[in-house]
Amino acid sequence: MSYGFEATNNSGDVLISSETRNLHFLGKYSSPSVTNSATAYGGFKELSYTITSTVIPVPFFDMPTTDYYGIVGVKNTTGNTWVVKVIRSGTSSTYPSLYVFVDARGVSSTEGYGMQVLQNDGSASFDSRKEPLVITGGTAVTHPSNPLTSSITGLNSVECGSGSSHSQHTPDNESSAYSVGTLSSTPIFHYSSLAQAERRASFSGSEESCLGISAYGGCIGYGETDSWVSTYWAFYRGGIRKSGSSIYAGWVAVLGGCYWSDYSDNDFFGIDVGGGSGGGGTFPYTNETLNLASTAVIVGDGTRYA
Amino acid sequence: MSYGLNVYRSTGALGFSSADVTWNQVDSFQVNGGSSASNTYSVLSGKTVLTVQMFIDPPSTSAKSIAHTISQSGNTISVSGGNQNTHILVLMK
Repeated sequence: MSYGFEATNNSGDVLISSETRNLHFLGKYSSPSVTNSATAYGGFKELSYTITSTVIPVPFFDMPTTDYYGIVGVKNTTGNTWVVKVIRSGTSSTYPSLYVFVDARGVSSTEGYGMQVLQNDGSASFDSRKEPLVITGGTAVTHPSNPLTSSITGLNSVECGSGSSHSQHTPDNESSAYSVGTLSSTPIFHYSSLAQAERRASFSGSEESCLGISAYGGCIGYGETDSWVSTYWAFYRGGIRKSGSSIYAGWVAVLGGCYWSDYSDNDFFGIDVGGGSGGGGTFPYTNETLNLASTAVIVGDGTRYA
Repeated sequence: MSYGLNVYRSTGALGFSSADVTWNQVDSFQVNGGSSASNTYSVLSGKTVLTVQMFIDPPSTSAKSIAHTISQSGNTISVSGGNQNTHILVLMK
């Protein structure tokens, strides 16, 4: 830069620059509303935090449990109102706090002294009164392509008879450990949940019944052949969990379902006399994993922003 | 600290220090699904760059929600290929 202000640390990292904008602490939000939830396959909750900000918020969350967490939406709903949506795995009512950072234009301060760095338009790029964001670590995570470590077996093929009470779709796969540096007692994480996966398994069966006389492996008279198939599926989104000073990239089951169909064929003395078919449930849209590109995780120290 | 810069708040608490590390926001912009963007920032020259993508709406459970691909070439950040509306943050240190 030929003019302005720039401060670097002894690693050459830029700390403050009049050509960029430091992020500053807007607020801590601890009372989300639950806007979606499920109990099947480990369960999940979608938590919505409403924020007032004149500029785009950059949210961080803490992880009060060992479950998986991720940011799934940041939306400017109207005017200066934003809704940040966070998912967590599990069904407990312990929710993360959201720590929101914005550039200095979006934070007010009544403190009378400190240090400001202005951009060439006169707006603040840095303001020491507004609790600038300090990073303690970070990494980039990649999710395993399959949320499940074993194949799905043994479910009822008749009209989705196994329901969603089974555990065959409960995600149990995660990445290896990612080190994110030394963590404070309340580390906070910025991580956008982009990865998605859907897994399904179909189970089929058939049965022949004879209302006439069974003889020589066949049916003399009126016979009926029934066949059926049930396709069980679940939809997953990426999350991260914390353990010690490492994080792991895993999956959160956010929706499950099943689609079934059956078909019957009748014959009378070997002559086809018709049949019928039926179906029900919801069919999944795809059976694949999306958005597996590595995703940034930024780590800060929540104790600095009480 | 024996050298560097400490900036304190009126409470006496340390507000910021040259021993700290941070990511500075260079830009934020929205790229809608099916659209692309390419922006050049001279300030990125010689710096470590981090890009962050945030979905505006949670991914659909009834259709593919494809994230954009973000690439860097020199001082240019390019975003394309997604079918979801997203916020893009360009950070550097």
